[in-house]
Amino acid sequence: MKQTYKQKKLLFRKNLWSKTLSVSLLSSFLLGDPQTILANGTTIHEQNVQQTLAGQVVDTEGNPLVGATVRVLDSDATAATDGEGRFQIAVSVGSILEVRMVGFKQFTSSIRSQETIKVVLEPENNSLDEVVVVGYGTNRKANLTGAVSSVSSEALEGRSITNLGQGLQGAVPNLNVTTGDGRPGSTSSFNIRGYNSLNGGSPLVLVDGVQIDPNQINPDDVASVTVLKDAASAAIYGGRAAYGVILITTKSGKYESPTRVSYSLNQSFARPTVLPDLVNSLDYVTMYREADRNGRLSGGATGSDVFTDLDIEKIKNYLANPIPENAVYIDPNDPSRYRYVGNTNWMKEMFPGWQPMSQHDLSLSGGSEKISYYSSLGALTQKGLFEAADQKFNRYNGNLGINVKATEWLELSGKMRFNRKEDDRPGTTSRYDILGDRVSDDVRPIMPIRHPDGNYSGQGSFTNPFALIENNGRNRFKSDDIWLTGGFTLKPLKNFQIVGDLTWNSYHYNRKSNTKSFYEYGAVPAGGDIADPTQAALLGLYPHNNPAFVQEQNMHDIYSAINLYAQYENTFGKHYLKVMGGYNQEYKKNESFNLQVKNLLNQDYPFVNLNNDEKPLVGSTIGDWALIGQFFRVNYTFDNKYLIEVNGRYDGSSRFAADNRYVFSPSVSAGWRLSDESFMNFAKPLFNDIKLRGSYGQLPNQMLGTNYPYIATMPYGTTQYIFGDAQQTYITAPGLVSSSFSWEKVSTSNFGLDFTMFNNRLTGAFDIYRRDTKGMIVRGVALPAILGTGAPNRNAADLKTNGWEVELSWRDQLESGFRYFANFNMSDNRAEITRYDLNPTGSLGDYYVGRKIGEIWGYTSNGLYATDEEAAQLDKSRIWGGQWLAGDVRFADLNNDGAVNNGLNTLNDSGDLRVIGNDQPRYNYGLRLGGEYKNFDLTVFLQGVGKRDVMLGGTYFWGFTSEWSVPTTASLDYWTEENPNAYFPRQRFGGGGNFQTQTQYLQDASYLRIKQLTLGYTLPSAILQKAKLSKVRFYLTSENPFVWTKMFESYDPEKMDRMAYPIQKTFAFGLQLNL
Amino acid sequence: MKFHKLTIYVALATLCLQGCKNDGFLDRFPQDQFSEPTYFQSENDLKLYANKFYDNLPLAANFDADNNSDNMVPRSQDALLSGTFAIPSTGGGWAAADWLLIRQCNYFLERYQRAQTANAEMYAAEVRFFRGLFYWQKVARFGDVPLVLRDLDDSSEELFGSRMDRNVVMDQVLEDLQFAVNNLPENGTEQAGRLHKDAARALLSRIGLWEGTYRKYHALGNEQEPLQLSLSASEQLMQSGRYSLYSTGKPNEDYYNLFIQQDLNGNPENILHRSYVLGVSTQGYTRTATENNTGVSKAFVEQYLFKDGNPVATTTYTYDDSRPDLELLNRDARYIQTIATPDFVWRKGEGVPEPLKTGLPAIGTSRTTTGYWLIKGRSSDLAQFNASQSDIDAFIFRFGEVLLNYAEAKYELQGDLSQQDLDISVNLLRARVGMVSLTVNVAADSNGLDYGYQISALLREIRRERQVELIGEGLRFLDILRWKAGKLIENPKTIKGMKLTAALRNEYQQNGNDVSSVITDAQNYIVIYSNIANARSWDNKYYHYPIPVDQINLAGYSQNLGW
Repeated sequence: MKQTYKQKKLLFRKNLWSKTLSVSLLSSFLLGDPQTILANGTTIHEQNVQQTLAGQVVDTEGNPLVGATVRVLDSDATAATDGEGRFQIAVSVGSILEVRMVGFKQFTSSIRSQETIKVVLEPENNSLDEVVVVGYGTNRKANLTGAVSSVSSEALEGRSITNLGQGLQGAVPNLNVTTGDGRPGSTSSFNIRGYNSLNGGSPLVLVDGVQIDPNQINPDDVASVTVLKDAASAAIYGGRAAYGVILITTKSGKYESPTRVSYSLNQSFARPTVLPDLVNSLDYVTMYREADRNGRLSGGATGSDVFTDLDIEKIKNYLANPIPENAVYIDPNDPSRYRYVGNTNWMKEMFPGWQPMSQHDLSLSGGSEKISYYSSLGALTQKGLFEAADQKFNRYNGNLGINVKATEWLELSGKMRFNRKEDDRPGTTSRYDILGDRVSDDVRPIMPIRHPDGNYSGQGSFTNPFALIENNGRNRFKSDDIWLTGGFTLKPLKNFQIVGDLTWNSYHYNRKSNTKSFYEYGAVPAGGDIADPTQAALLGLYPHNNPAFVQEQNMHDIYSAINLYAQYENTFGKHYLKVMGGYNQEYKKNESFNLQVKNLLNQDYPFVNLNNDEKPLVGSTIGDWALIGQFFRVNYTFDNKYLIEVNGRYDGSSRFAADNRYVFSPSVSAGWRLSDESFMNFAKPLFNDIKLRGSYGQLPNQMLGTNYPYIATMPYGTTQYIFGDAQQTYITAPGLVSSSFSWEKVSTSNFGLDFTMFNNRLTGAFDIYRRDTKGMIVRGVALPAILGTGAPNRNAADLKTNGWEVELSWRDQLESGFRYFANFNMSDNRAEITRYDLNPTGSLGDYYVGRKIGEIWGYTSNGLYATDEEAAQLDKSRIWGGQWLAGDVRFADLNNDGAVNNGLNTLNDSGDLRVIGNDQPRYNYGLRLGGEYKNFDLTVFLQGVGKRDVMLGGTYFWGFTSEWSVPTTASLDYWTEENPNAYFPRQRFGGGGNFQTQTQYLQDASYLRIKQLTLGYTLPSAILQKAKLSKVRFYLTSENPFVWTKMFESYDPEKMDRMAYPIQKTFAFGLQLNL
Repeated sequence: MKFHKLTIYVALATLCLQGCKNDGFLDRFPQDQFSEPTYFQSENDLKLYANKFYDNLPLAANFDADNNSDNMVPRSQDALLSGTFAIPSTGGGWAAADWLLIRQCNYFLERYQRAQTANAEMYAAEVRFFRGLFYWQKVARFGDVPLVLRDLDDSSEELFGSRMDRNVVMDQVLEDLQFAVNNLPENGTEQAGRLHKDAARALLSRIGLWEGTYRKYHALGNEQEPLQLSLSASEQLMQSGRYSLYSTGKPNEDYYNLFIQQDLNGNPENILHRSYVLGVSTQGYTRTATENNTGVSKAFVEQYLFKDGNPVATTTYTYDDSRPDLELLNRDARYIQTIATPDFVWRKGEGVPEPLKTGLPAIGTSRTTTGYWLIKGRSSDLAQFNASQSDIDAFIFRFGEVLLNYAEAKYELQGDLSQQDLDISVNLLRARVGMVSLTVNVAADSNGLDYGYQISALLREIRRERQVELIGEGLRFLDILRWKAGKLIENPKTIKGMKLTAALRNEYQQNGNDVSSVITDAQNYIVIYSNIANARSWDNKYYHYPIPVDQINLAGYSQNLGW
């Protein structure tokens, strides 16, 4: 929209023909023109006189609009404009008139006494005119030639999301988001277009042009997100952009706009989507004994705890009469201790309720002719799932951005950003990493939480989460992340500008953690008062926490970036030209220091200073990297039909030896707007726009994980051995490194089609691509183990990824005023190794040429053996050397050699192993549906994976992966002579040979999930006007309320790691309020 | 539009002046670690490097180290001895990580001479001691192994070399150990905790005997030299006057107490030990007492002589193994100091109101599989029982083993021993526990262990003495290998426990102990492995572990015989 401010003002003047109305409501506020009819139903005279109103609807250029819907809100009278944009409708003075048309902003006004009216509808941002943020600049969507997708803040607003990644999941095709687990403060990670490299690799994420961890950002501050997918669009970022770029633009103020204050609140309650349902103690002991017995029968693993018939009898007694006294009895072999025969549902005890989260966001924005500003404050508080653990996570975000038009030719900008995180959780112990933070798979149901005397149970042999949480220390961290950016835009000459900015970031992280030692108690001696804690035997300190210690860790990162570029843009007749060139340099330094002391003066004062430790543990690290790049871009367009773009960047990285340090990455892309060709006129009524695109580019990748990969350093550490009375430091031989490896190179070819149809109602894009990752840095050829270390890395493997993605977006409104939209996207990609000479024997334990990433090799299995004789037939000793019995898994001898094994475990001789599936998610899709009617709005967001195979493992699938595990009730369907048709095989600790990767337990992990379901209600404008508010919206929302999947019940299809903090479904209410 | 053109020029110049290359800005080096060119300069560099290997000294700290032998019956069967060990695809003791220590030794030995210090050879001696130790461990597991004496890189031809005859490798091991003996400082002049000549002599005493007898019983030839090396190393230790057996004149306690010392410094039997200090580095063996899931085998318990110096078959005492409190009567005093018998106090100390006696052994629990609960090295003190809070020191080399090595090496060299030889070796160990002396003309044990071949009565007693004295110190499986005595494993009593008669069962049940799940055989001995009908069988391939498949593919090694 090229309207100037003055032109807008004119629209509000009476003209000779009739009063002209505009939807530029805010402008009219500013002008304060008493003759202007105010927006949103302000009635100036309340007169209930019925009259006929005639009018015309035009666009901003005065062209009549045909087929617009005109409604009177209080009478529900409707009309449609005719061929000249004219309409007639019955109204009464004071009622509210609404005019709607697809592609234009909605018009609403109250009616004063009048007979004719002219309505000017302002165009809604046409998707083609939309300006998209690209690397070092912006571009009109119509002119894009690369594979670029963008999403606006709509996808993020009013949701119970705690990080940006959750909001972006499923919103952009082939932007694959792995949301973290459900732990407060967990983070998301991103991938663009599938498997990148054997070395990992991830997209470059930039927030307002600098590399900020997106997990630090408040989703509420985000204005738009652009994803640069192909090499051509990402090339301008060079060596870090090989796997795409995510550009996050935060909200900013606008010149000449009124002050706007927004507040929003989201209060949610979360609960794990799935929690394992553990067996009760009777089942547990029965299964344990069964597994132990089977181990003895056939030479397999046996249990180290021995349960007797007496235990079973006592457990039955407790189940019948669950009083505390019945949960324990004195160990006949050790009168100071109890044996446990209770029945505790640990999952239920540990995770009883809902986990609250609240988020408040306040922002202030606006601008005058010379200055614009945006500032915001966000506060998020989230509590942990294990209520007794009192875990708390806080995040605070503060932003201030100011732009100043200093002169006609100079604009200055400054931005400050502050992100703080605080986390407070139970202390770590040597036994449990982060207690209460994960689902432990070894909490045995037989143990009560407390002994009858009130002391915590555990007795040194079992770990009691409740005892640890109450008696142990805390683990706290906080981080401050401060970003300062100063920038300028110089416009010295017409069509020419120079843009520069300097960013400085300081990140400080501090962690303080401590453990405490505490006593454990055993049995009250026989004859004593079983309820008296003072009579309980003292068993000594809880062993895994002694000695108590305090640890403090500080990390400090400094990052600085300079961006400077110049741009020339002009149109010569049918020729359009834009040339840009610039410079970028970045430097990052990390330093850390940590200290751990024991022999505390008083463990209730956990501070590193208060100790009597002769030899505290001290450590520190330092590291840095630097990057320099020069880049250019040329855009040329002829007649708005033929588009071409050329990019190049010359990069240097500190991560390679001087001789291999520099690399040039070129790319080119072109587009053809087919719809503007005269021979396409026949398609005009249907298609508004059609564009074909193609691009090719090559990017280097420097992401290697370590800062100095080409330098061999000598590892060091501390001995366990005590020399005299102290341990000593050691230094030992370095691994082998080669100094000759260099950047891996990633090239992408992309073909795309963009179209707009049905009068801009439907927009769509389709892209198909091939990405080649060449010269991946991998370890050297497999060498005999006597080398004693790994072979040095080199650029020696290639990978190709093929994929496609499609986006479709439909928006429309019905005559009733019902407005709705549907956005659908789907993507797919597959990756395959194309060069890998490190594995000449074709070992399946390694990559090989032709290996598809994610492929699962496994045995073919078919039920369980019915008899011991059948089980003994095939030689399966290579899988498991014990004696196979009825109820073990029946594996197929596919190569008919009389034995089931993996042969030489190579491609040529894989024995009975075959590819049985692929664990990479395929056909990722997202569907966002929304509708608005009267003051209600509804959004449903569905996300899913079309195809995925997964071989689950672990306790919550197999049950007794070891004797320390506690199975779930799903494992109860195991084979016994009485239950020969069971799902699971005979109980064995560790499974014997049964837990092989195999066909019959392979899971279909495809799913469809409702990610978001939101119902909102916006207060009518009549009420708002009285309260002097511009918008008030209430909503109810839920994340992850439903999922459809065929997967095994104890698992969430998005989180296969059952030990991790479970992911959650949330229910929330919220409020959005604008002044 | 007015504008200072100068500004444009400055801006453009800034862009252009940034050269395409800026190595000053891009040169970044690690600041918190050393790299090779700057290392190996001072004596301290050598010392810090040698420190790494001390963590790998073989300890007698966990006395269930004999679970893979005829001495013990762990609840989970030893995979090799029960025939369920499968050829691994990778790993199996032959992964790069398993050869890392040897690489680290060689890396040092190729560079240490750069250091400007008179003591360079002393540190080289430390490292060669360790290289000898590590290579011996490889040979003991795999037999022939590649012999690499320098640090290789990815282009070294030696990588694809074949496995070297084990005798050649062991000759190198013995050479390394002799170098260590020659170049280490005398005991008492070394820095605290470091290796000294006597430690190297003790290892030479152990490995020389191992190698000499291995060559002899496997008929590989050239057994004299290793035996001679072992013998003279032992003699030097015995004649030094620095060592004697730990004894306070309490034959029923000294042996037990020897293994629960919180400080072995100054202990006369200590040649080298691993120190544990509370709050610095501790161990947790005592704690495993109630959950160790193993037990001494019936076969082992039968080896204890009676006070008259005779075995079960010929003793003049009554032998009654129907009850634990009867079986121990009149036996070698090491019996009650190795196995928890009913009067043994297994828990006492601060926080324990009444000392806890063993009573009836806790069969059918995780404490003991066989009823013979191993207490060697386990303290009764509650403070030591707390997990990872034990500061009981562990022997690396003790004089007692040297005496046994001496007697055996000398016998194997000479085919005989003098009474004098016995009196300065085996009989010192016997005297500590109040046993009658062994004499050269000892009578044959008509019911002795079956080694798979005939041995003399005297050698049998020397081996018995070794078995009884060193139980749990991790040498038994190595002894079986060198004696080529796999036949020992086939003894049914190696997987049986104590006798559990109907009367005894009844007694348990009356005391509230449910032992209904404990299985016994026809003679009422406890059966640990219900899947083994009577006895395990030994396959000669077990003398070596197999080489993992990936290494055979990569380097073309031949697989060990039988695998």
